[in-house]
Amino acid sequence: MKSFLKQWLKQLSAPSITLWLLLLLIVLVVIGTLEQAQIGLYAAQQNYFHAWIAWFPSQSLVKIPFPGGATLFLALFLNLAASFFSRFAWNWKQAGLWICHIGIVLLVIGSALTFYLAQEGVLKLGPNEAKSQFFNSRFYELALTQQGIEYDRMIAFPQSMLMDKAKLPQNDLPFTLEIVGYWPSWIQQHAHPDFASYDPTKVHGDEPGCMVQIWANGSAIAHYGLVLDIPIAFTYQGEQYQLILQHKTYFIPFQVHLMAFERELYPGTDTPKAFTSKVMVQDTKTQREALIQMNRPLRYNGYTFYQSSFYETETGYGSVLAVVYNPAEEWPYFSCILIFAGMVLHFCVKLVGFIHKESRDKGEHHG
Amino acid sequence: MVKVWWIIWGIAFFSCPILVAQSIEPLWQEIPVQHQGRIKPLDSVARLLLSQISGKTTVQIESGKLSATAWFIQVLFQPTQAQGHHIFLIENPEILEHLQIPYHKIRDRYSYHEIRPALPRLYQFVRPLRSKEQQELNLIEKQMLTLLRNVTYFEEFCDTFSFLEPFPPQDAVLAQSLGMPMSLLDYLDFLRFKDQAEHPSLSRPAIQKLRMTWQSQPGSAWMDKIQAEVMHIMQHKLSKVCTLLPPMQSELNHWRSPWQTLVASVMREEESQGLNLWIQLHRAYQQQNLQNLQSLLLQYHAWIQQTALDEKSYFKVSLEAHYNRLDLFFYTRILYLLIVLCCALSWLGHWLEKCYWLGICFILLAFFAHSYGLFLRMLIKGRPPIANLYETMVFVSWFSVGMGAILEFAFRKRLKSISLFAGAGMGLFLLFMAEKFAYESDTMGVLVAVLDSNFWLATHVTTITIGYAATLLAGMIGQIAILLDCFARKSSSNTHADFIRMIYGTISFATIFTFLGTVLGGFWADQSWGRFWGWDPKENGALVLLLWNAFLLHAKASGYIRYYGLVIGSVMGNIMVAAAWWGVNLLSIGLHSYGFSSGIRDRLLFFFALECIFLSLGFWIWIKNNKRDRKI
Repeated sequence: MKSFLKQWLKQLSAPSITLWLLLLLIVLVVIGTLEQAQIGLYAAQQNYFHAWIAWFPSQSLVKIPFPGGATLFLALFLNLAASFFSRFAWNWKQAGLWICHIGIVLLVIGSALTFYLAQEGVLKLGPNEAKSQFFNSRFYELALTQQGIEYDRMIAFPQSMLMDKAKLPQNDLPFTLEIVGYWPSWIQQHAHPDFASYDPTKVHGDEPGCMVQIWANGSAIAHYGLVLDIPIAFTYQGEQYQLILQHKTYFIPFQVHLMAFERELYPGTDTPKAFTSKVMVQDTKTQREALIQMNRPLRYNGYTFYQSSFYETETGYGSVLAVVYNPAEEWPYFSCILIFAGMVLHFCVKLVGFIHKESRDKGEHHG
Repeated sequence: MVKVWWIIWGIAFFSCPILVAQSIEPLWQEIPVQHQGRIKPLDSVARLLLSQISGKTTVQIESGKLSATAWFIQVLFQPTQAQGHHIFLIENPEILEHLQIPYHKIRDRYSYHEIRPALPRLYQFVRPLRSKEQQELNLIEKQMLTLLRNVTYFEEFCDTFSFLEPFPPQDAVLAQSLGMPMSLLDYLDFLRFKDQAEHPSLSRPAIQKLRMTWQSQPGSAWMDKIQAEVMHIMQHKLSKVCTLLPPMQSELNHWRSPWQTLVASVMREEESQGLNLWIQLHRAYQQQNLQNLQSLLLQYHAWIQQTALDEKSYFKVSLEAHYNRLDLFFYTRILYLLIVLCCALSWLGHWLEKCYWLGICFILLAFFAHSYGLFLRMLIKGRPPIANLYETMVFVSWFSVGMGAILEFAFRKRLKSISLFAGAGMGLFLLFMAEKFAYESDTMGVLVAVLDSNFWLATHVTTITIGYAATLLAGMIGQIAILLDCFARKSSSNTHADFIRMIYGTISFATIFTFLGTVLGGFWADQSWGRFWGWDPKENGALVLLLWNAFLLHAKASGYIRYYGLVIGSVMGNIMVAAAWWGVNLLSIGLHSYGFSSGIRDRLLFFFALECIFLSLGFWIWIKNNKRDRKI
């Protein structure tokens, strides 16, 4: 059994596998990058780098399957992990290689953690506006708010649940919601009476829309057509409710208040020199003023705010901040330092060996 | 040996361009101007304008050559003469045909006087293009737009002092009432004569008289004529581009052109002093009074130091003029060429081996000059010299030369002159590639906000470009190895082993720095955009290079490739560097597509073609030499 495992590990860690995987990864990165020019960064990430199987080229009818980034990284990870038990020798000369490859393993784990755990989005603040939530512009959700006396209760159904004929499970409501239809762009449905009240020239037709039916005691009591960011209010059994289709929203446990936004240009040009948002962050206990600039983000309670963009309003500039909450934020730092240290150590060991050999050869030559 | 040293010092001495500085030209060159967002010497403005218009930094005239600054001063002070010089480079004969300009010869330059009659046709051609996107334009349309931009820009510089042109209405009655001939008067005399505030430096006694006349009999016919003429020049010839005069209010940072200063609602005493000095310079220039010019220039420098610039900024401006005068990278390029020739000569025969030592001396000299150039750029800009594509090329060439020299020292016994040749060849090639960018825009220009971080520029960009440099050097050595195998006598296995060691070591070094550079880039991205890795084209380029180097190291270490594999692999590394470094700019997407991308394509394709030739040679020689041993 033990020898079988050993045999198996040895095969898994074969250097030829490493080499093939590296080559495949190079090819994948090249075609993924070239495809970006056609399909954009986000689609390229989804179709190539984060995918298990990449279909190339993504815009043609005939597609060739290719191992995606996720597959290749997992395979490299396994190949490397197996090498620790079968291929690497335990001696000081190899210490650099050990450290370097442990770093790589940690880097891959950290990336996976970031991929699954991080929240990211944007916080758009008008002049003198305060907010405690941000949204991710790529994903949508259906939010139902039950208005209470002391606080409102919000239930959000993610995009993945918004499928045709899907019943949204929620036990403690007196009614159930059913998705009659969900469309990535609602304009195809504009003839339907539920959407008749929206003006396609004012509400962007290329944004998603959905139709919701409300069921209570086995009968349908109402149905609504929803488009992005336009709420619909209704009353049931004396309670106030509000339904809205919105960008996926995250709440932050404090408030960010935009005090001022400044934009500085180089004299006589349109080249920006600096963007600065002056904000006040406050929670129940403390409040603090901070400046957010390019290359100088604000970190607070595990959230990081970056100066991303700005827009003009009638009352002044508004600021767009990118927000990231990433519990695995430090992983790449530690793992990369390990990898680098390992590489340098190994390089130095080799270099010393080379110099020794040179001087020995020289000695022989003279002798 | 001593003789050789004498020759070297002789060459160094005569090639030293500092000696040129005996005239008053440096005083002109060092005049501070604000241009494209930063304060620079007048010489830099002149060079940029001239190289954009004519593709070189001197002007050919009948009596010899004009330097950029001399030409620029003429544009400012004697525009009519300057308009006769042949400076507008028109490469495409189709353009000449369209505009009906008489054709000289291929790739020639045309004067403004020749182009002016064709301007209505140019405007007509360009008008419908305004609504088009940059990508939709074809070559001739782009060239027409460039020509129009150059012409308009040139015209506006010519109008900088248009208020000093003679006043055209020659009116006998007016002349009589003023008591002086009209030809002595210029626009300036009429521009401000109505002002109550006194600017003694700007007006003459005759103008006082004019003012009194105007006050006593407003609304006379010749007064209307003057008014109309003044309005006309203010509408058509009020030039704003040449911002020579610093702001006197500390809260402003926009410099102003002479015209803008003149028509500003408030003119302070210091400003009128500055303007007045320029006017006097203008008059002295017309009279070609050298002594007067010199003393005025000295006065002007004293004035600007007193009123506008602190010592440090003034020093930086003079330093930049000094840097321009030295033109170090031009001489460095020549030296690299000499080194390459020396190495090649030293291979030809035993009696020519002395040339090798000449090459060694040249490389020391060239490396010193190259380093000094980079050092000056660092001093002038106060940031690491790697902020745009031009600078990274100069830096990479510097680094590969240095690394080549070190390798030469390490392998001097067994692979004599190989890395010397590789390093100098690399330096020559990259400086040649970089040269074009120097003509296209200000290579010391301001940085957009996201790049403006000295810490990350110094760490990320330096390390990643060192990675590029080392990979390129390995590739260059690989190419030499291929050439030696092809054309020299059959090389021994000892030589092969040494080449392997050299290339393998260089690639290991390159891997470390590519990795460090990529990772530091990730840290920077994490600091300013909130993600460590985003699959941006430039990031991917660096990743591909890193993976390729890792592949080579693993393949070599596990015995899958040997000599030829490593050599061919290192040449492929060159292609990856070129694609990562310049190629992604051609995709024109992503966060890194700053810098300049026009004009890269042809050179890049040329480079790829060259590398492909080397690759096929490499495969051919491998197949030829290893019929039995199939392992690459």
